[in-house]
Amino acid sequence: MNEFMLFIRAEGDPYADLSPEQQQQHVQKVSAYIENLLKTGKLKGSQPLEMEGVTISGSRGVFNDGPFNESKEVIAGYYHILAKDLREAVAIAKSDPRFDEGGWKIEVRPIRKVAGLVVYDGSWVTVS
Amino acid sequence: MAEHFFRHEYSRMVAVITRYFGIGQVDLAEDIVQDTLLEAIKFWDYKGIPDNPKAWLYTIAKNKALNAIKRKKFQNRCENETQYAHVEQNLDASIDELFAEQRIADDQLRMIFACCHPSISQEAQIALILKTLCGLSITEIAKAYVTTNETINKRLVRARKTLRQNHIQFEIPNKKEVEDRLNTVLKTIYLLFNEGYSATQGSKLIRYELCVEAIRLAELIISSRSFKSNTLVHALLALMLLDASRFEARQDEEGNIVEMSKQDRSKWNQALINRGLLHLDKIKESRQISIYHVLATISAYHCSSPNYESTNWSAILSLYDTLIIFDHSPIVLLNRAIAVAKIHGSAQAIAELVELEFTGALKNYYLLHATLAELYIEQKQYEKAASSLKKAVQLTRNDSEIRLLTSKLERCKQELK
Repeated sequence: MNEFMLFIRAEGDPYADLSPEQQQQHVQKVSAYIENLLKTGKLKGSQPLEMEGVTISGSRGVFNDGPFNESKEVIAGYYHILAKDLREAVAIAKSDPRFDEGGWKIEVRPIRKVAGLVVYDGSWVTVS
Repeated sequence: MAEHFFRHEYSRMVAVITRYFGIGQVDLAEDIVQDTLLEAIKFWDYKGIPDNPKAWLYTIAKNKALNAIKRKKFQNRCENETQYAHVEQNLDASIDELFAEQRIADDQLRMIFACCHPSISQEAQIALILKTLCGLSITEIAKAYVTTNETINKRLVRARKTLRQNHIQFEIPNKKEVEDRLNTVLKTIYLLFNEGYSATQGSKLIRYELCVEAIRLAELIISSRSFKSNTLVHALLALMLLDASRFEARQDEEGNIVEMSKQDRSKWNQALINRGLLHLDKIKESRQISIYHVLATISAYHCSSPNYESTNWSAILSLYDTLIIFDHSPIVLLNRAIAVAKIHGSAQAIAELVELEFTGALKNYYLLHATLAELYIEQKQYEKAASSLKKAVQLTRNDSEIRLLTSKLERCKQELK
């Protein structure tokens, strides 16, 4: 199994125009989706992100704490999942019920593995 | 998650928060609650729906309300400061206390009375009810009324302005006023029901929702201590439940209207009929007879008859005779004519309807001509029937009615050949 990050991206607030009834339908569908990922052992973690923060750029001495985001698109949250390969990860992302409504983008990124090394308890160890 | 959980929690939270901010700021309460729901789903989308979603929502709502009050206090440093401090103090109670079931029900009742304040126009009352008490979005209301979002929004803005400018209280009216105000409330609820039940346009699903919501509001009133034995409310509830029981059978799969004589009675919702009869039973000893009571009893006669042929028309006719005393309106006379035809024959009914047509009151109402046509067909006077049907077709815009009328017109033409 390989690890993938699914970054949920949105422009503006795709929920804002939904009626309470539609909001409920949305949250019920997404909950069922997460539950299914958890049951099949494919979800390692998921978190929503605040819609604000800062972007740091420059170099030491001339740091630039710029505006958080220059484009309108924001990462709203992420899913950390397990999948056999990129194809399966993409399929998982595509089955996200968010796409029933539109207004969302999901970026699928494989987590890089270094041959012979695995992450253990926060420190690098060699597998013998 | 229960059916309509978000929608109904929306209305419950708006009512509770409005108690603290006053009905003049109902839009602020609505904003707070809308934000609350958004915040909740933004978290639940990653963590799933929590075990106790209500407690979640109430906690967020309370915090948002407190923040709003702090902002208000800051904005109006000098004026109203003590008032806001008071509100803040009251809001700083436990969630169980703020959102106790009984208090929510009481606040929703206050909201019903505020929305139906006589200073607000009837159509705006309904829009306000659908928005704040039923949790429908502006788009959904516009869809139900086949109009634009802008129109509905204007109605809401005007209604809220009236509430604010007239300093309307968020309270159940006092003893002196309550009877009058309850009449307005019930009239508006019945109008809402009728929009759903006999609407000429709009999707069936949305129209049924309007009926269900009207019934829910009346049940909210009857479940309060002050109105639990009110005969008017029982009568209206009985009427709406009994009428709603036939909703499914009134339209076929293609959306055509099915007349009562041709309805499949096994499609009538027996559970609703029983609930309706229960309310009628509660007021059978009552000496106060209302229009709702008479109409509900007529509906009950239909609902309890195994088939169209065995309908107790003489009982229904005498109920219409009673109804005329309250309401000598052309519409009632028109409905009565059907019972007249069953008891005294179609010739007598035609004579009464022609007289009614002569007064001019209903000359632009398609049902007058459609009913006349039906009676002419019974009398085999196909030429007169055809001419009435043509008038009826011109006067309705409802597609399924037009289909029904045109098919009858075809039949008349066949007969005339």
